[in-house]
This record gives sequence, structure tokens and C-alpha cells, in this order.
Amino acid sequence: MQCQLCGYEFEVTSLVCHTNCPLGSHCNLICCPHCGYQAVDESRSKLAGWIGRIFPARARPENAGDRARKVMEEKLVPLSHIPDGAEVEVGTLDEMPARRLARLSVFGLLPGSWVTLVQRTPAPVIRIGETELALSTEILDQIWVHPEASPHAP
Amino acid sequence: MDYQTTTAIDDPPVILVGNPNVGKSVIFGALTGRYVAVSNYPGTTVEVARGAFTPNGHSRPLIDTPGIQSIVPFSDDERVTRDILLDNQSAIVVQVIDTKNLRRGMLIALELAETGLPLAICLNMADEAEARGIRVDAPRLADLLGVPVISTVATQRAGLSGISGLVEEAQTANYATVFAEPIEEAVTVISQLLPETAISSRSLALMLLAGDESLLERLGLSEYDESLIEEAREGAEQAVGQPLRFAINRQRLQRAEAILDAVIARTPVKRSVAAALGQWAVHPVVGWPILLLVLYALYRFVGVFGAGTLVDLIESRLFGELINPWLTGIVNQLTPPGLIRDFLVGEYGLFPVALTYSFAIVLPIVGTFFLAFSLLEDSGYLPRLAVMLDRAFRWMGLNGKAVLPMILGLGCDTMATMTTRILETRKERIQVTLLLALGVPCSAQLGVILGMIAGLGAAATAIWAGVIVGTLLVVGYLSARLLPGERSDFILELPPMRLPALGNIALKTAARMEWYLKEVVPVFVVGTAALFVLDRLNILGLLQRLMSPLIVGWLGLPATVTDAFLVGFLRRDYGAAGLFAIARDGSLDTVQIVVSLVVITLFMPCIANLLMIVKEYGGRTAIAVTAVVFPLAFLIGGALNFILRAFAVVL
Ligand SMILES: Nc1nc2c(ncn2[C@@H]2O[C@H](COP(=O)(O)OP(=O)(O)OP(=O)(O)O)[C@@H](O)[C@H]2O)c(=O)[nH]1
Ligand SMILES: [Mg+2]
Ligand SMILES: [Zn+2]
Repeated sequence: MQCQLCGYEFEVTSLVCHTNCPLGSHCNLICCPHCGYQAVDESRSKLAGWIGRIFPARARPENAGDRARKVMEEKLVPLSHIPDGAEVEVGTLDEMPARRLARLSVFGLLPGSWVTLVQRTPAPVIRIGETELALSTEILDQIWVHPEASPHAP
Repeated sequence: MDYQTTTAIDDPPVILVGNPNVGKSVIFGALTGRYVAVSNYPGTTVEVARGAFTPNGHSRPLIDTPGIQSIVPFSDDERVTRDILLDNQSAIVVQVIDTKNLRRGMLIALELAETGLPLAICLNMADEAEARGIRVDAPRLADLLGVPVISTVATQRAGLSGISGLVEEAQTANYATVFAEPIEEAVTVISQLLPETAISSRSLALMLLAGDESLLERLGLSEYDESLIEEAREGAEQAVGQPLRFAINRQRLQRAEAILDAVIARTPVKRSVAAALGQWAVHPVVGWPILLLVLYALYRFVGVFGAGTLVDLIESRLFGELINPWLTGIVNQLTPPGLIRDFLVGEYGLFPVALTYSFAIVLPIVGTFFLAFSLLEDSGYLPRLAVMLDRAFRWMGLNGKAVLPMILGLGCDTMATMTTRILETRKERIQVTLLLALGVPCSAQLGVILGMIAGLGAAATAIWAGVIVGTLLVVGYLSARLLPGERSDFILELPPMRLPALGNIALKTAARMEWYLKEVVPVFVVGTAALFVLDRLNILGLLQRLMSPLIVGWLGLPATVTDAFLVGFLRRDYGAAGLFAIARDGSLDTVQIVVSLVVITLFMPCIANLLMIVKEYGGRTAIAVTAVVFPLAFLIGGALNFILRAFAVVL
């Protein structure tokens, strides 16, 4: 794991602190061998695991570099950045998990198909052909489109 | 259905297949004369319905199936349809397509073409396509696919007579999709490993390539063959460089587009009123007043008209002045004073309690609710309500899809527990089941509660509602994080707004009321009998004494309330009605009424609901739900009592 304080990478199995600890191997804490910062071993403490799940830490943004490349090189933008009511062509859906991809594809949402963002709150609604779909913002963000509006938009 | 005329039930069946919400069940009903649930909500049919119809003087079995997006299922319920296709040798498939959504229909048509089954296509909802300026050239489509095609408007019964001809002429489609080289190679390899089934091995191979695990289990291949299939699959996926299911769908869609170009003509039309209404209903600003209006109308109709006017009329007039005195008179004449007479007309008697409750109180409330709910359902508003409330449900680790069972729970929790099946993951289903059991009062109970609380003023109502909603939110939030499993994606199709057909509304309401009565009256009778026995054996008194520390000490309520709580086990509304009687005597102060209402709302689900949980999710889940609900109801009731007393809140 990586120390939350100093960033030092270490193996949880090679813990120095357990040997000096009065609790020995029953201790639920992990000490960083570099700076000594104590973190809870959630795999060992049930209670801490539960509390950790009730107050989840914010997820770090992943694939930021890849997304930047799509914007810069492929001139694509996420559908969430397109003004409401414009019909645009889907560029890629490559960030989606396979299951989500398959579920959307049966509605006709695939690279090359045309899609309209009808609205974004209270929940995003998109239209593909005559089908209107409500979906989550997270999914909207993974639909990469060519930003130029279509010629046959109203 | 009349089984006597269906002589040839062993004939190969005709199977209705298609996307959700395209009118399969309407067509099934029209052809067989059997009513099955129809509504403007995708996924109405969850179980297969069978009937018989008589094309050309010869009776044949007809099967209505749950709607699918693809014959490769995404979830357990979608498997039902695929299994029907696998299980019926030499069946004829009639695919029902929503004409305006031909693209999606074609994706399934291409899959069905691969199965090699005799196929015919029914382009339904021609009226809606027309209104949107979409015209489909049916003969051209028939030519391209090599199967018969007709155009229908099922709700007006237009064109349905053509289905007999479809069945006669159905044949294997001569239209195949050719896939990328690596996929075709894998299909060839896998086809050779497969056993003979009702559908072609090419079709099975493509399903396996799309990652259909459940199919692999069904085929019962040797472990070695399975490993060969997996190898071919992985090889193809690597060569294609995309998830295979996606790649396959993509190629099918390209094929479909080519067909669409040849058969569809569009003319621009003005946007219809229904379309505008549909958009307002989910509008970030206008959507809210619409939502409030709908809820208020629901309250006026069910809470005021049903639970007030109708119940008054039926309970005090019809039953109080006519039926009950009449029945009591007859019983008194026929039976000697004693056990039997008490059992029938005594304090816990069958007639004054069980029958009066089920027919005079529950029936009018539930009836008005189901009527209102059917109207909402068929208008297409419900999925839009899901969009409006998605955010609140998201906070509880659910999504807008959970709105449907929760609203239905306001009608009947037992029925709502059954509809949790529409949720995708087991975690979400159990979460909603828990929330329903905990804090969604059914209409019968809600009617009595609203009747009681209305007299107490706005502050008391706000406290009751606040505690219940707060509990639901917190329990939802916690259960989302503590229960194992995952949440599903929120992808919900919004069907067009439609003017509900009154005939269907009436039939559906009647069917639901019948179901409810069949389920509720026996429970009432058994419950009343149990109470009678408990009372006779003085066990009621004993239980009262046992529970009294909890009721009197912790909740600060008089011991008589125990009765109502015990009865609440049998039916929630039953318990609420008992409370109503006690409160009417003036033996409860306002704080006591609020506390007892909170407890009885959060309290155990009724027996029928509990049995439904056992049926759907097993005994362990039922016990776990009970173990959460029971202590929590008393904990929150006690805490509320404590807080209200400590701050000497005057209501
Ligand atoms: N305008 C119009 N509405 C139709 C037509 N056929 C069916 N409907 C309506 O479409 C809705 C769905 O009909 P169902 O028969 O429940 O559809 P289904 O295919 O069985 O749907 P699932 O069971 O969910 O797969 C209902 O509101 C029907 O009244 C039609 O030809 N025209
Ligand atoms: Mg149906
Ligand atoms: Zn450190």
C-alpha cells in the first residue's frame, strides 16, 4: 500500500511496527515504515471497514490524461458539454464498462449514431431516434461526441 | 380462457416476442380474449402468459413473453424469453415492433433471423409512427427480410385479423448478418461443439460469443468443450479489440441502418401536445409543480374521496346500518349464545371485524388507489416521476427506477415487494424491500393514518411525515453502504405520454382488486380468528402485560395500545384502525398519537408482505428484514417520545 502521509510505498506484510506492538499481530493498525504514520488495516478491522463504507473517501479522477488527449487530438467532447437540444454524432464510447456499452447499444447508441441531449437536470435525458432515455450524469460523461451540430437538426 | 375449445394444445406454439412496451400484451389479449397486464411502462410483463387463439379455424397455443432488448439477456427476467425460444421445438415467432422505433426492432429481428425459426413481423403502433411523420414500407421490408410483415394498431384492433395470415406464411428469414473475420471464425469453431437445439447453432454460437453465461450453463457441455469455447471467445475478442458483444451489436446495427434507409420515409411534422407534455413533466422547473399537482390529485382522490367519503358511505351506512345488523340478526336467530355466536358477531367476530374491514375500509381505499395508479401508469408519467426523484434515490444508493415499487407500495406493500423484480441487482431489490417493509404505509393504512392526523394540525403531521421520510433516507443511505453487492446503472426508457384507454384502466384496476381481495380476505379471516383465540385463552392479556414495559415505559403509551400493535402484525391498516378507535375514545394525548402513529407506520410489514418477502428472497432475508424493522420502529418511537417530552413540545 501507499502511505497516506508521505507517499512511501510498502508491503503490508513486512510490518516493522507489529514486532514492537504490545498487541502483536492482533493489532489492526498499519504503521508506515518510513514516517510511522498509522493507518487502519480495513481488511483486519471489521468495524473500521463498516465505518469506511459509510463515509466513503472521494474517488480520485482517473484517466485524466486520456480524456485530455481525446479533446486535444480527436476534437471530441463529452455529451455533457454539448448545449441542450443539439443533435450530434457519437465519436467513441471507449471509457464504458462492457456491460454498460452493451445495454446502451441495443437502444441504438453506438459510435456513428446521432444523439440529442434533451436536458441535464434533474436527471439527464437523451434522445436517439424516437427513443428517449434517462441516464446518470456519469454515463453522460462517457459519451464522447463530435461537437458540431448536425445539419438536419431543427 | 376456455380450455374445452383448445383441443390442440400440443401444437407448436406461436410466440410473441419484441422490445418492451411495443404492445405484445395488447395483441395477446385481443387474440386470446384473456386479460394480461398492459401498461405504458417498459417491463410490464414479468411472467410468460399462455393462451390459445384460432387462426383459420384451427386452435393454436399463443405465448406472450416479457419484453427484451436483445435475445442475449442482460438480466434474469430477460432470460425467460430466450428460454422460451430454446424450449419450444418448431415454434413460430411473431415479432412485434414499435413502428416508430424500427431501428431497435431490427436489432432483434436480425437476431431472430439467425435462429432459423419461422418468423413473421407485426409493425405495431402505426398510428404513433404516422403522427411523427414516419412511414414504413412494409412490403419492401418483407421482401428484404424474406418474412411476412403487416402493419397494426393493436389498441384499435386495426390490422389484427392479419395475424392469422402471418402465422400461415411465417418462414425462416433469408437475411444474414456477416460479421468481422475473427468473429466468423470463432462462430465456425463453436458451432461444431454445440448440441442440436430448437434454434440454429450459428445463433447459439453468437450468443455465447456475446458472453451469455447462463446459456453456457444450460447447454451442459463438457468442461473441455467449454474451455475451447472460452478460448475461441478470447481469441476473437483480442483480434477485434473491442468487447465482443459491442462489436456484434455494432455490425448488426449497420445492417439495420441499411434496411432502414430502404424502407423508412420521414416527413417533418409539428411537435404534438403529448410530446410537449412529456418534456414538461421532466423539466427542471416546470416539472416540480406538475409533480406536486399529481401528488395532490392523488391525495384528494385516494385520501379524501376514497378513504373519507367512500369509506364513510360504505362503512357506516351500508355495513353499519344495513349489513351488520342484518347479519347479527340472522346469527342470533340461528345460533345459541356462546362461543360460535361470539366468534361470528362478537367483539373480535368474523363479520363485524374481518368482513367489515376488508370490504368497507380496505376495498374502497385500495380500489381508488389502484385506479389512480393505473391512470398514472398508462399515461406514461411514472418513468418521468422517476427522473424527477432520481437524485433523492441516488443519495440512498438507488436510482430513479426504485420509484415505481415505492409508489406502488403506497397502494399495497405486498404487491410492491413483488415488483422489486424490475430492479437490476439483488442488492437494490433487497434495499427497496426493506424500505417498503419499514416505512412505506400502504393505502389502507395511510388512509386511516391521514384520517387520524388530519385532526391534529400541521405541526403533528409534519413531525410524523418528517420522522418517516428521515428514517427512510437514513436507512436507505446506510443500507446502500452496508449491504454487499453493487448498484446498477440508471438507464431508463421514457415511453411517450399517451391518453390512457379507459377500458384497459378498468380491466387493470379490476384485476388488481381481485388479486388484492383474494389475498386480503383470507388473511383478515385468519387474523381475526387468531385474535379471537388469543382473547379467549387470555393470551392477549398476557402479551399485553409482557409488552407493557416497552409500550408504557419506553413509548409512554397506555397498555391498551398493545392490542393495536399486535393486530398490526396481521395487517398494518388493521393496527392503524385499532389505534383510530382508541384515539377516538380520547384516551391518547397528541404526543401519544404521534408517537404511536410513527411506531405503527415503521412497524412490521403485514403477514402477507412478510410471506411475499419469503417467497421472493427466502426466509433468511425475511428474518433479517424483521430484525431491522422491529427494533428500529421501537427505537425511533421511544426516541421521539423522549424528545417531545423533554422539550415539552405542545402540539
Ligand atoms: N398508440 C398506440 N398505443 C399502443 C398500441 N399498442 C399498444 N399500445 C400501448 O402501448 C403500451 C404498452 O402495451 P403492452 O401491451 O403492455 O406492451 P408489451 O409489449 O406487452 O410490454 P412489456 O410487457 O413491457 O414488454 C400500452 O399503454 C398500450 O395501450 C398501438 O398500436 N398504438
Ligand atoms: Mg407485456
Ligand atoms: Zn509514511
